[in-house]
Amino acid sequence: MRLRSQTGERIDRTRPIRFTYAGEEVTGFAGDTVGSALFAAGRRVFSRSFKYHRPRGLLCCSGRCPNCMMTVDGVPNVRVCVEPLRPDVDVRDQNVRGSVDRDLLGVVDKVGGPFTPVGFYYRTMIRPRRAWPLYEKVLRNLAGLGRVDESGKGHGRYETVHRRVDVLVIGGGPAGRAAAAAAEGDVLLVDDRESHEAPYEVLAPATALAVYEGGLVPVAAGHVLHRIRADRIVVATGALEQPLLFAGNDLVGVMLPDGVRRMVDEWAVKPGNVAVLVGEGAAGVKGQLARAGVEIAEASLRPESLVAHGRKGRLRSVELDGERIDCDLLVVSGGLQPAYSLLAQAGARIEYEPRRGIFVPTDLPDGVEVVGAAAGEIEQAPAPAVLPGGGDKCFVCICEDVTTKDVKRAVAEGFDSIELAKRYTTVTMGPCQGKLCQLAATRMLARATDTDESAIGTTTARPPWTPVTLGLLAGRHDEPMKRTPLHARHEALGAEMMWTGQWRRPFAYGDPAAEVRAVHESLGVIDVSTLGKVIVEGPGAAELLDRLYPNRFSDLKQGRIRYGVLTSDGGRIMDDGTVARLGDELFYVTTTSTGSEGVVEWFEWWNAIWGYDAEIVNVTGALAAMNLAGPRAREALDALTDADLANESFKYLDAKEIRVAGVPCLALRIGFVGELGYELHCAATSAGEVWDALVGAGATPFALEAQRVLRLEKGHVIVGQDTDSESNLVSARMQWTIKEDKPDFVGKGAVPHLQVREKLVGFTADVLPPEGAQVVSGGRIAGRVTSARASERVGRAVGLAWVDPEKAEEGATISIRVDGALHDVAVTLAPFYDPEGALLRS
Amino acid sequence: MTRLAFLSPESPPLRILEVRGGVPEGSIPIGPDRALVVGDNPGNLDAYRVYDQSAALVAIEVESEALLRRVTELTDFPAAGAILRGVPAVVERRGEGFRLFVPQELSQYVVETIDDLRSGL
Amino acid sequence: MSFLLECPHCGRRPVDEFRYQGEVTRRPGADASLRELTDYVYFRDNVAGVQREWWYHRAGCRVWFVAERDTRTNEVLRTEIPAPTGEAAPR
Repeated sequence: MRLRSQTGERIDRTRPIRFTYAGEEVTGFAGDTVGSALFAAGRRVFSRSFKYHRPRGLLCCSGRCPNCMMTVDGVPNVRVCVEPLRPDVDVRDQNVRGSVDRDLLGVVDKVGGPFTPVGFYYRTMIRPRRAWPLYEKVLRNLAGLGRVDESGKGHGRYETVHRRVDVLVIGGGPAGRAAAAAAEGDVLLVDDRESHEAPYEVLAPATALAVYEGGLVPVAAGHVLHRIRADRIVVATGALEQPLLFAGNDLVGVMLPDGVRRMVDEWAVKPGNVAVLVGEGAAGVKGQLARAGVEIAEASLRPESLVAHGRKGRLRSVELDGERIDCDLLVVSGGLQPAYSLLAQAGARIEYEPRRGIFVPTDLPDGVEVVGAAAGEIEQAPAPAVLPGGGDKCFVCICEDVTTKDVKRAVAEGFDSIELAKRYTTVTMGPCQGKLCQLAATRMLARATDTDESAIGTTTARPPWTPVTLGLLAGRHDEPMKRTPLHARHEALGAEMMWTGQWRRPFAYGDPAAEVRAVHESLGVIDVSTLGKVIVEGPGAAELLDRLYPNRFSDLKQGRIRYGVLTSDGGRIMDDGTVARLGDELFYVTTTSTGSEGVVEWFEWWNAIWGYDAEIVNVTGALAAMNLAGPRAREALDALTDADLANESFKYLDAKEIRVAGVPCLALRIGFVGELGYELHCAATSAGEVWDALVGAGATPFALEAQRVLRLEKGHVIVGQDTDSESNLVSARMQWTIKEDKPDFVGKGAVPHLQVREKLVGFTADVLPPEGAQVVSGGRIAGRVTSARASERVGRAVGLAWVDPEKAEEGATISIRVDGALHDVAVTLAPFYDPEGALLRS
Repeated sequence: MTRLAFLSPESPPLRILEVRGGVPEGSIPIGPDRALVVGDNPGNLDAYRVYDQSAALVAIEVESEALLRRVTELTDFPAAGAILRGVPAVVERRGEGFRLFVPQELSQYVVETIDDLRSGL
Repeated sequence: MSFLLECPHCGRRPVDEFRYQGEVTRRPGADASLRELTDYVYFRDNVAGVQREWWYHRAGCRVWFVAERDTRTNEVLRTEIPAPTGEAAPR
């Protein structure tokens, strides 16, 4: 029922707003919240509680308790008491079977109590074990809050904004405003209610969620998350009205004083007909009740006992110090409690102050201050722990339906500290996050353990202080994707793409076997722009490389390339690639695609320690790279360049700067895929021209899958695929790279101590084992397959595997388990295809 | 061919040189002794080691402070630091707005993301 | 983790712009015993107190620097770019 016009009311009676609740049309006013409009229209039961499905009604009207949570426009768990009313909004009940008035699951309250005491799920429904999935399914549907939209579409855009300010004031009450006005510099005030005119900047309605290290305060403002960094954080979050503990304290009609205040002053709604007031804070709303025409049947500051009676969950009467009084509104106040959570998160100490019965923050860290009621500027006597009177359930935590009996039982079972009791009973773990129940829980626990509140303390405050949607925290749906300069061409060719690290690369262009054939029989080209590329230049470059790698590079002739493998100081293989010498003091290093950043960091770290006069320049992105391979490679390239490509002039493992289709390139004659080939590196902006020229000369594009087959036919190892974090150079049969006569290199100290428990070998088989297939010897697992592919050329499956060292002999037999059966396969140490490397050197 | 000719695009949209060994006048500092020299009049760089990163980086304009606030936490420009989800970038003021230099392999991601963020302003 | 770390060149930046490389260790000589090598590769002091550690400004100026951080409070007391030690074992 709407009262006549109240001074300062928020509603605009000239602007009615229509919306739907549970399928029925309801009308409110602009300035209403969904909750106030529903109450004005006669709704009293707003939800069903989490566990017992008890009817719940408006209690705080401040967005703190869980009682008014409904699903609004598909968004679950919206607190309608503070949700601004919008036209045509669709509001529905949640966590009910039927309606909120006639919830079939309400039977849980009548019957379930004795069977669902605190922690029941730890002791019941354990046998038979196979029935647990059924139990779980049933339980899941009996309790819980709203339903999430499983299509995963989310509810609109979420934005993230970064801000840096000098002073952030959290809370726009009198203390907060005064602090903001007095502050110097770039000042921002946030408040979870409305904005106001001020000489400083105001962000409202906006809720501060947490205080993190580095002065980071995330603030939720609708669909925008403001990540604010402040040099000074002033917490002015005020104090929270606390409920009282008495039997029947969750009945519809029990309200906190602020709830009444808002109903009357802001929304001109009559909260009830006959009221009883209990507690000092309750007395403060006598004015509102008088204006609303509510009869005050009785008011008591500190009764000895209190019980609330109801019917079908709605308040009908109270027993106050033994005297029965009929009423439909019970305004209770357990005093105020400073809202300390953000300060606790920031690292303040929370201390109990018995004189006023409150927890106050002290020992604030640098950069964090507190003002106003949040600092403890309150005058009151401590509220009673529990008001006796017997009867129905007395709730400590209305979010989680935890009763005083539950807390006592938890203590009896040994969970007698606040942290243990919290985890066992789930008290303070609900949507209010302790705003309405932390103090009560501590008090109850103190009584049940015969100690005091100081001894019990509070639970650790953790972000977020107020529930927040995951969507807001996540922000935009995006994922950084690295694309090579030839990405558009791969897409145009209809390539099947895959992820390697953050790179998006082509897996195949439709028929990898045909791609392999093209390389063997004619000519192929693959985009290898993702390779790491590093220039190492300076007087100290050669010595630096000698010291970073087990290999020697100082004796590498100009224009020549050498394979290099990086190891850690523990002798483990980290990465591999090639090193080409382009000048006396100039080297060009390549690394694996996913390892490039790590290798540059590694080089830079060691040189920060050693201090060689050498520049380490990451040119991975500056250059594109393409591998042209196949018997026709020389012929095709010859038509595109003036350079002398004769074998005597441009030998295998030579590096030359040539122009291809007019584009300056660095051409490296290397052979990862086993055929005559040239790897062309050019400026990324010219990649398309070079690629088009090569394809125009008859090269078939081939991609990662074909490359895998080709390199496996040559027994070429891929670091990270065929090696892992324990592999060393000896076990990987690469000890030829180690030049032990060098005075120092990373990994030198480990060389004499390297363990060879297994060795990496090639094998051929008639069956194709999957990656990871076990190598079995004498009944035990002796190794595993790291790579395997069917090879048309070789006519069998080829692969690499780790085996017992004694088996690392040409022709030895190993057993591989495939689909449960053991298959004997032959070990081959030489490459399966062109073992002499004649084609590479042709 | 000139030194490292294969690194240097012939006519890039913007010439961007990474210099080592100091911070020349008018350049964008990106480290204690590293800088980016942008544009066609680099001046005399004989005292430095120069590497052409014109093909490595893409310049992107962000026209307003409001948009930049959605892209990065960085203040105090010019700065080398993270934008969006960990993308390393160099950011400088340019008139009313800003110019970002980002790795070319991530440039499409950055442009698409900034376009989308702009639409949400 | 959101604390701000002072890069010696760029100033205060969020910690996720950096890569943490761990305690500053003493690298043994090339003739180290197995025990000394194992110690260096696997064991760390892991003090509850001020620790000298390497950080790399990955997303920014790419400088390697050493921080002194109190592991009990996460407070970084100072950061510096150490001078290269050349041939000697690093500290």
